[in-house]
Amino acid sequence: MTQDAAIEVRDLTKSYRSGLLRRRFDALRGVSLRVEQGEIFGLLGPNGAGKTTLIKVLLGIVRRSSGSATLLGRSAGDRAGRMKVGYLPENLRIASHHTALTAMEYYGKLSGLSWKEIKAERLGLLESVGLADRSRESVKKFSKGMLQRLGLAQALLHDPELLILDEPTDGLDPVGRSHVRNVLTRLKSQGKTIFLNSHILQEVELICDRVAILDRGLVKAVGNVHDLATQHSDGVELEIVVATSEEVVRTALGERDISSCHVNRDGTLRVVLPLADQFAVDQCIDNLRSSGISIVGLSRRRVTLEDAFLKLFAGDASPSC
Amino acid sequence: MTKYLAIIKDSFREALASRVLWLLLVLITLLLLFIAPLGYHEVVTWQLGDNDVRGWEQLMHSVRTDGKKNMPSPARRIFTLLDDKLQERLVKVNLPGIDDETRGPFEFMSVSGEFRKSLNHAIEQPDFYDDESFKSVPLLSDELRDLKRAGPETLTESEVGRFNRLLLEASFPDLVRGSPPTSIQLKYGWWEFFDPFPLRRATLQEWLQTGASFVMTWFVGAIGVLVAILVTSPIVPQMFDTGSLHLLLSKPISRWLLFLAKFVGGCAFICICATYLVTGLWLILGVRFGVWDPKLLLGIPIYLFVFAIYYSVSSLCGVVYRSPIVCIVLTVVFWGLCFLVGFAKVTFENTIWSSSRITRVFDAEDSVVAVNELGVAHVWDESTRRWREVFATPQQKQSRGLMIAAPELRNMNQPIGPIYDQKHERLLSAQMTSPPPGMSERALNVGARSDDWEPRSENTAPTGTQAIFREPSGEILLVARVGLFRLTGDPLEKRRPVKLFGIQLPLQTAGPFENVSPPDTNATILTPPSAAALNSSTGMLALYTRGHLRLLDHDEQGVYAVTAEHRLDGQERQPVVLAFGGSTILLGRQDGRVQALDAATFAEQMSTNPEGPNQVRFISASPDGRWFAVLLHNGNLWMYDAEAKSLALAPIAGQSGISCATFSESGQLYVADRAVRVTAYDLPDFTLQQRYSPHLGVWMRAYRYGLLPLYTIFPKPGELGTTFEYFMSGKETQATGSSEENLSASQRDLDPWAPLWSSALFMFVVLGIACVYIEWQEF
Repeated sequence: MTQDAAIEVRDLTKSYRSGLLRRRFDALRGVSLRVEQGEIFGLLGPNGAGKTTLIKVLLGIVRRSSGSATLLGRSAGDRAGRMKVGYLPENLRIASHHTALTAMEYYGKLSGLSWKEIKAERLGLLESVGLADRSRESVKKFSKGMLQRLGLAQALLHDPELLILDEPTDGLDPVGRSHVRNVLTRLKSQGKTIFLNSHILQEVELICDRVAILDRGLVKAVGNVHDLATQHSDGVELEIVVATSEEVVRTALGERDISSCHVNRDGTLRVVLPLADQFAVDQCIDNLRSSGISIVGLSRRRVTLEDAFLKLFAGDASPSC
Repeated sequence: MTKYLAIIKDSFREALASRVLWLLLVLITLLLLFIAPLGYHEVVTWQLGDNDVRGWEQLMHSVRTDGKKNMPSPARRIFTLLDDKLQERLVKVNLPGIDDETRGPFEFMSVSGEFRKSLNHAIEQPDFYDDESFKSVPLLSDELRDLKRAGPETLTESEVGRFNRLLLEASFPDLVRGSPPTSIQLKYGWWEFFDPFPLRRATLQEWLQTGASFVMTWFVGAIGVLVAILVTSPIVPQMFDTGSLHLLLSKPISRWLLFLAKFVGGCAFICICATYLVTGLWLILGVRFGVWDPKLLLGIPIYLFVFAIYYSVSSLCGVVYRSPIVCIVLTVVFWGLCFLVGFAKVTFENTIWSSSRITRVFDAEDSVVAVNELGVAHVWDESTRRWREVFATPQQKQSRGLMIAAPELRNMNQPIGPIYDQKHERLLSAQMTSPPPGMSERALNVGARSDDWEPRSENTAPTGTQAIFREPSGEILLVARVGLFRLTGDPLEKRRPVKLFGIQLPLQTAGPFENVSPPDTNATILTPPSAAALNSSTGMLALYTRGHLRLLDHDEQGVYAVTAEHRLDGQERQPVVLAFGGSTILLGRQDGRVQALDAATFAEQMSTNPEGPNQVRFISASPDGRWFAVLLHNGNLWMYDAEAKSLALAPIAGQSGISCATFSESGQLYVADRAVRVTAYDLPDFTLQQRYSPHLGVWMRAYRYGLLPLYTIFPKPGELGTTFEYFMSGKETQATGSSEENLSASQRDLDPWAPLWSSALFMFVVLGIACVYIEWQEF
């Protein structure tokens, strides 16, 4: 018996009508993706790509126009399915009369937990997000980051199988981010599925197993983070530090392109070369050595997800996540 | 369900976190602390307060007029007990409405104040009573007789005061109001304020309930609701904040139940305020006044319901527009609409509709005459299918506007009659000429058929005329406060009236009347509350006054004599309505009872409360004495069958809107409903014989077909105060101040259920729309 996917979306479309003339806007135009149980899946895309709409459809906040979407084997929006989902919305707002403890009680009850279960769990969770010592304070005094952490704690309270997090590290300081990363890593180790929507690409690269990139309601790319980065890059970049002048280096390399070239404080020269493959790397080093140039330093730069993302949207005007 | 309870609990938590709530709770606490020292104790009623005398100038006039004479009388006795200086001032002072020239009100006010003080001092003295001065005073009151029997010298100080007060009441029944044995002295802490109120504890309880209702109507129903609307208006819009709503909708809960739970939770604010205030009032009334009435606590759910109606509108606006400001503005607009519709309906009903309402119908040969709430007669005109106004006296025409605008004045200005004088083919009525306080002089109006019923008046009716009857012989009998008078002469022949002490005497020689009172005149002296009924087949008369029911029959000369007397159970000063037919006397009692007595033995044949404490307004007996039409103030008609000795709701249309039920000469039952429609039924099958249904005028049509349906479907949150009053009293109508001693006087309709069901229906629809909207809307 095959295990149900945590999230499975097929040819999903969603159209809105707005304005006096009821003009149609297609937020999702046939999205298909599958998130396996136990993985951390990142959803990327520029503003207006349809990321939040996809999450809303998955949670049943809006109805799909066509296609199918399931959560843990149940139709998206199904109330029993939502029992197993923890959700942290973007720009979370918690009513100001709450403290962290009463907010946990309130949202725990809404998730179907008993008072006893809430009481047993809430302090430990607040501790794990670094809010234990401020649990009795009014949320009015909380910073945005603290609210995000409280939101994460409430999403975890009912021990969900699937976590849907919309910008979970938004507004958090480096320590806070580290806290959240640790929590997510721990959850992954417990076999939880995490569906993450974030515009901090380094964050996604660090945490996620797989990502999907949405663009104007369509999946532009989906796959393993490393594969995506390499698939969507132009080769390798080589950085060489030599103890000679720029003129000598240019002569040795002949007509080869040089990305940048500048003199370091110690008088050495730092040269960055865009190269197609390993053969070109070897050839370049042979040329320098045969010209008697002493190589002080040599490094090959890794291609990041951001590079791949920017490459994907190279033709579009200033994409942002 | 625990999920939704959590939302409601959260709303209470939110309310308790609100500073406005705590501010309101502090204000309520201050109000309760302010009220808490209020209390009372009971004192024997003897002192005369300002309101205990209907016309001080009349009393002063009597005292100074008699004071100059040597003939012993109560007024002279009072005069002799005043000091010389006051006697002199009293003789010289110009009394408003009596003396032609009035020098200014201040002198009168000064003398009347001193007179009241001296009179109170006089009745405190044991020597106030002397046999000679009071020998002609009828001792009608049981209490007075008991005190006199005990002997004034054996009485305690307060009993002496009481005895003398009762003597005053008996001596000047038109001027000095009757009083209960004990009065209520209000106090605030240890400070006694105001004069003692001549109230019984039960009446005080009603007053307190009304007071509590007033406090709750204004503090909870108006201010509380307004503040609560302001405070709670952001609750629903806040729910739609993206960061808040999406989290809520992601939870395994139903959207519409989420909304309803938020709605119920939003009522937490007013629930806390109302519970605190009402419980506080209840405790104060219980501890300080001994009124432990749990019904007072019904104020909490009722005012919560009032708030819920407004809040449902606010919530719907919150769901659609998601803006607290829009919620407040639209709720206030809704409040204004409710007020406008309610105000328009009440204004129309109290003026146009109720003033046209028929309260009496009788035959005048081949004409049908209907008398409306203003006492104006109308004759049915078949050709135009309208009631044509006839027999309207100039006084009626003059005071019509005032009576339409101020319904409470109608009871005071109602004419006695009219009645149809078959022998002379004319209508007769006794109409108040001008309303000097304390006087009951009425003009005798005559309108002949040949003169198109145009009223003319040359004589006055006997002093204190209370009823006009047509005897089986066709003679007209007037029942007055001081006796029975038969109209024997020509009422349009001018006679010079004889006046004694400023009061016109109904002497045989002084008008067209023959005194047919019994030899023992005390037996027929009527002091309020009183009532009279004539048996139209036997000519026997039933008179009720102050707890005593007397039957009178006339001899061959037509002079009446008392044949039997019966003391009714209960208090002496209770008003009744009665009818006399066959061998049965049917009584409508103040407590809502309908009691049938055998006229020969006064044995009780039936006694029941057909509709709890709802009182009877009119009772009419059929000529054969078998049927009695019992009309309640709430517009329901019950029929008593004297043969079967059973009372049952009449199986006719229009119940709850009936304003009159009476019998024609031939025994047909006339029923008036829809204000101006009269239907004639044959008994016992209630077969419809004839219907007099006039074309309605523009205003009446606008009311009946426009305003009334709109009002019916519109919510009535502002009128739930009347529902609360109904729950407190159990009565669907409420007597106004001037009509408490007269059960037949019109009462204010409380209409307790209409505001409940229409408001509940409205709220159901509004919440339903909001639920559907929130279920289908995408966020």
